[in-house]
Amino acid sequence: MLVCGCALAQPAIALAQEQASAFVLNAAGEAEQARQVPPAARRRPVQAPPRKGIGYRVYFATDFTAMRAADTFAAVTGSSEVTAFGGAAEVLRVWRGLFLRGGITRAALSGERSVGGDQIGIPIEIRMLPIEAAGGWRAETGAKRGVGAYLGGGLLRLGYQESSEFATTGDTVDKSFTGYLVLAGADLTIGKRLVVGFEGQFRSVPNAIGQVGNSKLFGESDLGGFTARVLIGLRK
Amino acid sequence: MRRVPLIALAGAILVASFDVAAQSLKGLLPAVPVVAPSMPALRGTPQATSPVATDAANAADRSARVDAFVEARRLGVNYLPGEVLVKFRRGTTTTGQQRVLTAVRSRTPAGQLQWMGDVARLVDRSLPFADQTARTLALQPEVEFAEPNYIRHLPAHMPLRELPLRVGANVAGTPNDPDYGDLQWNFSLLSMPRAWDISPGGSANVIVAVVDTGLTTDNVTLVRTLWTGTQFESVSLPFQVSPDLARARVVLPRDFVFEPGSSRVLDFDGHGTHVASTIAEDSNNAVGLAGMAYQVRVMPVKVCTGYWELMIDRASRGVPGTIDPNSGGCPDDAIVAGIRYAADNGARVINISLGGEDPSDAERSAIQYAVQHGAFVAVAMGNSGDEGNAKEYPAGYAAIEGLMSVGAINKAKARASYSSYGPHLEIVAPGGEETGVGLDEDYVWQVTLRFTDQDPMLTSRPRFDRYGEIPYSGTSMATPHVAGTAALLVSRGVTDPKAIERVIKGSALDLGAAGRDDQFGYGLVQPRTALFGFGIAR
Repeated sequence: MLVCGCALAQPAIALAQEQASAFVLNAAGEAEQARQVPPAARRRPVQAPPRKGIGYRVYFATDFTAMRAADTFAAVTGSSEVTAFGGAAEVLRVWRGLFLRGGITRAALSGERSVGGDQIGIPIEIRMLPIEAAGGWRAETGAKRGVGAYLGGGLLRLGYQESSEFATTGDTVDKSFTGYLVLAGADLTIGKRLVVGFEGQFRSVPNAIGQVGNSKLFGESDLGGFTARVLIGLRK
Repeated sequence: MRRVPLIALAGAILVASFDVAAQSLKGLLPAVPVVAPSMPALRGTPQATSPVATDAANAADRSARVDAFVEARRLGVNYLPGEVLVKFRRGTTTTGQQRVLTAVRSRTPAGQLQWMGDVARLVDRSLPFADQTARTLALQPEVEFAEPNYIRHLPAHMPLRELPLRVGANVAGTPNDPDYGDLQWNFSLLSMPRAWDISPGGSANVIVAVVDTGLTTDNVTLVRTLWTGTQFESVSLPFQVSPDLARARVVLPRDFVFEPGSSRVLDFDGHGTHVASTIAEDSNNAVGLAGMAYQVRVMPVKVCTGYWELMIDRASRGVPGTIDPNSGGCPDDAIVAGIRYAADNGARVINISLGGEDPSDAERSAIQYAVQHGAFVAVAMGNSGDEGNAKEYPAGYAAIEGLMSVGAINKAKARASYSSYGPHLEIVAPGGEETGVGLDEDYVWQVTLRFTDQDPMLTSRPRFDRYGEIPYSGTSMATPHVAGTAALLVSRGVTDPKAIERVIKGSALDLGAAGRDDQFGYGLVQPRTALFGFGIAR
């Protein structure tokens, strides 16, 4: 209690005393409440409940693949990396976190025929068309379940074509090979539907090459590789 | 008693006996030709210039060499008596060179050495045992290497018969050369038509040097004295250029043995013409047969001399009688000079269908020079595969990148029994072999001189103006298939000799044991695959 002999300050002093008393009473009340609520509950954000029902994710994809037949591709195209464009469609929450995917991308390369590392001066065109059928498990978290992470695997059917000037019967290649892939990725839903993400894949298409040609010279037989995928699409 | 140093005593005895031997042989050999030097002795670099010689001096030197060939045959040695090739260490002055020559008691002054680049030819007929002279020279500190002037030979088997040159298009064939389909199994084996689809005969901008007996460049008739068996006669020796290798495609010819320094080349044998024809015979012109790179230009480099060249020279000096029909050969000094000449004058491919059993640093050095100057070199392995399989050179220098040693296969893609083999074999190509009963259809056929016109067993009045379709076999015939492939690759822009070798090896058809082996090297040359290359899957 403040003591002041000044008659004019008496009302202000009384008001200040009331406010101080109220502050003390409020702080005491809140402290009492805080003692009753568990500590963890004070730090946990508010989370949306898990999504229910079947959902989907469709997207455009850009794949950057470091080919396992690195020397062979470098000898012909000048690079052991292949860029492909395409997309995929997924059915989410088939059963809890299970998802299924079908996807397709396409790569078009040009280069020069060679013998080992020595180029011959004849242009070559290469087309690669990987078709994937995969599945996996997906988990979602964050506000509105906007952050997803997943991993899975599946089969790969690779269409492969080569064509060159001066090619005759038996020189042109048009074949399909079967392989497999394993994948892991994460995505972020922006707004209600827009999804962007990143995915890594390991692909293997064994014994697709290596019997003749540069792949035989270099001793490489797998048309798979390590793929980094950037995707953008829609998700529900 | 004072001891006499044994080494000094032995040395004195050796020198004395050597001198006696040299003196006793002196009467068998003509005197060293006198060469009039036209410039003072040079200091410093060993790459001196040969002294300018008079025509008389050249003729004397040539005659002396002819006698040396005959003497070599008589002695059974594989070098020219009295001739040594020597390379001095960098920085050796003329004074130093003279000291070296004095050390071996040579009567040839240093100023009269003849140079092929940085290798000198020492001619001293008073020292006929060139192998001994070379060993002594090699001991001198100023000398990098010294070796006898070896004589190389042509690994080819004589033809058994000849067919007349046919003219008239085979309308059903491609190319339309009348006997291409019937006789040139070697080109079918190599799928040459498919190779020609990519590179139709190569480019006229590419020059291929053929280091051999020559390819006749002039229509000329020499009138020379010849010993015709019982007397000397004035004989007309007509020469004609090949009717199936256009003269316009023959460039920068050079003779290093018969008329040294001349740009007129005359083939007295037919071997050089046959080799050049496999590489570059006119094709699809309705005449005779075809060649692999029928657009390229050919540089004839004559480094081999044979029976008739020797007989002409002997007769010009009044030396009667005949000589061994197998006299002559290809001396190393001419080979070295020829290879360097080809490299210095724009040859991108050099074919060397000759060899011998002695390693030659001079040859190795010349080939390295050629490769460094952008020339791919194809060399015959040799024909001793069924006669001891001795390693021959320069094929033995196959480790040089840009040089490929070539063995021979027959029509069945089996190693020809005569074809030398070993760890230095790199590639094989059709060389032909008699696989039937008395038949030679499985030889390699090309248009060249009719051998019946110049076989010394058949005539004493030769002529060199008539051509036919002639079968030869040997690694000599296999080698131009690789040279032709290289010419096609150069025409397509693959110009680095080392890259050419890698491409030919990488595209070869593997024969025999998987991978490289001593029988087939990396396999059978595949011109079409070399030109087409590989993709990723095929």
